[in-house]
Amino acid sequence: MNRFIKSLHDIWYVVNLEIYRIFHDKSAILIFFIAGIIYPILYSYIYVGDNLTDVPVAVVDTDLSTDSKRFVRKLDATPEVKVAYRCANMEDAQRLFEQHKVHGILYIPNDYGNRLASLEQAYMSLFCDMGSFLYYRAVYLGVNMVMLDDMRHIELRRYSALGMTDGQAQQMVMPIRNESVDLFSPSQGFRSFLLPIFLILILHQTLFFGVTTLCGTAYEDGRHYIPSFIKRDSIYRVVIGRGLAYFIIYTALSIYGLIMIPRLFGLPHIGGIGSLITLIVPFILATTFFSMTIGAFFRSREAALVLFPAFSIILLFVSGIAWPESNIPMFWKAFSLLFPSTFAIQGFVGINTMGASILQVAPQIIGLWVQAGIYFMLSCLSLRWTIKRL
Amino acid sequence: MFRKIREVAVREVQRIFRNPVYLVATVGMMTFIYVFFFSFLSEGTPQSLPIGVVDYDHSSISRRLARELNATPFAEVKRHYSDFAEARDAMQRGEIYAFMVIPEKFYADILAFQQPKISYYMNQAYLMGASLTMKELTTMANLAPAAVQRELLRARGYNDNAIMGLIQPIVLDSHLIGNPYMNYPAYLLTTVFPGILGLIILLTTTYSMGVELKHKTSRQWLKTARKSYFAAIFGKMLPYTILYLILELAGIILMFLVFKFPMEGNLAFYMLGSIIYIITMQCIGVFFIGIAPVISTAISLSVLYGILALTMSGFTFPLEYMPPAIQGLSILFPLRSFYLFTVDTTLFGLSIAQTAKYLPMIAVFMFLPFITSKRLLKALIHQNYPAI
Repeated sequence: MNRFIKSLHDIWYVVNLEIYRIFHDKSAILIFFIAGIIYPILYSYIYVGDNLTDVPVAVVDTDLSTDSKRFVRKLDATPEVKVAYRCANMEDAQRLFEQHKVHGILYIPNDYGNRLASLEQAYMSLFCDMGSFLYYRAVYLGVNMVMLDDMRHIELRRYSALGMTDGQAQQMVMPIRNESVDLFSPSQGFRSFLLPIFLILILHQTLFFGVTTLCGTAYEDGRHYIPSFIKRDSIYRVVIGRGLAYFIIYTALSIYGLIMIPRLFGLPHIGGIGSLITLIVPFILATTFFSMTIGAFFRSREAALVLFPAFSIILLFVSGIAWPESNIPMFWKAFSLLFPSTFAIQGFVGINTMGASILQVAPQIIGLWVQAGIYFMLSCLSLRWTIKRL
Repeated sequence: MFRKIREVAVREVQRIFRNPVYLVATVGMMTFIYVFFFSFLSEGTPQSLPIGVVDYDHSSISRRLARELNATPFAEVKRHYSDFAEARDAMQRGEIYAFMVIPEKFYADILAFQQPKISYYMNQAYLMGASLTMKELTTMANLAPAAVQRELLRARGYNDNAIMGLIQPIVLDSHLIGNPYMNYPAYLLTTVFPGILGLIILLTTTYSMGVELKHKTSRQWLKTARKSYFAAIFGKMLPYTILYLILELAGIILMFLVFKFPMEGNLAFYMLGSIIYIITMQCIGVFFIGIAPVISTAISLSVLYGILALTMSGFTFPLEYMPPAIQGLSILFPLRSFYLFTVDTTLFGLSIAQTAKYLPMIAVFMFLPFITSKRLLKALIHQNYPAI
């Protein structure tokens, strides 16, 4: 029992020492608090547009028939696309396209109305800007929606011309009706999709860089900041103590970043707070011990920050949301399991955006606890190794 | 002057080989990035995304719909679910991106002209997966009724030509400018690679200069340059310029020659633009260490700016849809101009005369180090800033 109380005392001593170190290190404050607080707001603001509406396109209507004019009018009315320019010829439209003033060109040939009138198939051409996937998506979607709608209109007219009653024609045109429902993020917005991923990555990366900076500093100072009364065999007390210090700070930052920010900035947030906390606890623990494991290998404050920022982009891709998980090569899927961010992103998007229950994201939560356990043991080993090295 | 520069450069090369950080952060990281992205995206645009089917009808026609959906390139029917709740659960677990619900009495209702309804559910939390499956599902949603119409019209004795005019009066042919096969890696990597290389340049530039201040070797560095500030900076940057150019060239060869990314314009001119971009990024690095002659601050500044540049280039989310204040800030990021230069050259195939305007917009940042040169020189001589 005595031994237990002694270990608690030691741990509490380390917690205080680590918090003191954090608040006396300019870089640690900058990474933990300034970046951790500002980044979520900054990215929420940058992507506030959420969705591309009224993407400008040019129309080259060489036909100017009632049919073609109706089509252009409908196109202008879609939320996705705006007919910003009507050009007399392709050359003018192409110039606008090259100047990035329009992101699509719809060309209607001069036999369009005539072909429709003579019950033939009529043709039109669409040119899409592939400079951004989102331009393509908006223009393609807008024009296709109008085309499907207008085809129904023309079909009705044709069936009526064949002598069918309105009811019969209706049934012929739409033998099967269809509806499409967007679940979980009805706006189809880019922000609602990307921000939840970013919020996890911001916590993961700031915690990683903050901890590795503190580890590198310890090496540079030639001290390991381990109280003399803690024996080598009870080194776990130091790991737990430090982990607890980061845990306290990151619980606060996670509540801010993962619970408050989505509610303040109108991001999707249909998950229960209880479920979120069930995910956040193992996420912080796993990330803390992961960072401490790696941190032991750095001999200077800046080393991690010089080497690994580009890694943030890789973590974004392997997380399985930004790029469909079903299409990630096996090797990289295995690689992604090394990082707490992978499980945390999947779990957070599941709970926060899709309202999944704890049971549905159980694989991710268990994954994080397994990582926390493994990285805890590894960080004990790597700390012992650091002490020997000093 | 030439000799001074050479001596500083030789000193720098020796420093590079003494400390593993330099080569790991540049050659190591960039090689990893190339290997990662080309193997990760080896499939190109995602194919065969998993979707589900809830078939309450179990008729020959409902089974045929599921089969046809399976045959489309972007979608693959992973499982049949017994009801809506089960399919929704699979979606929340992230197993499928979309599912189709075929109602009871579907076939019977078609025959009775009751216009039964098929429902498609898409998971928009997975934007990429949802967008691609949506394309297939929309096509299906229109092919299915068309197939029924064709049968009905044939029964009434119409010939196939007349039928096509009736069921598909408008034919739309889409041209994807510069990227006709929707090569997703080409769209992504032509900006991601320069963005990451830019970040690496900023980090290694600020590190290589900051570390001289931190370890108080800056006077020795100036001594090697025989007190010439210009030779000190230029000589130190030169070995890295060569290193970055090799890394950039490797990327260009991989993208446009090995993996045949679209290159409609002049490749040589594109390379010239890349060289200007690289030197510009080095100059911004020198500027950062000039503003903050403290290693950790300068590096933090580089991370902040370098990561933000990828967003501000507007290659994923277009700049025009960001708030006006943010749009204005984009002029501070050369990656923005380089992205436009890349689109105009590789996709639009514009002439040198039309794309040359972007190069001065990138190169203008080369003047930045002159603004902070006095401050940096003072710091190198007096070492009057905190070491960390």
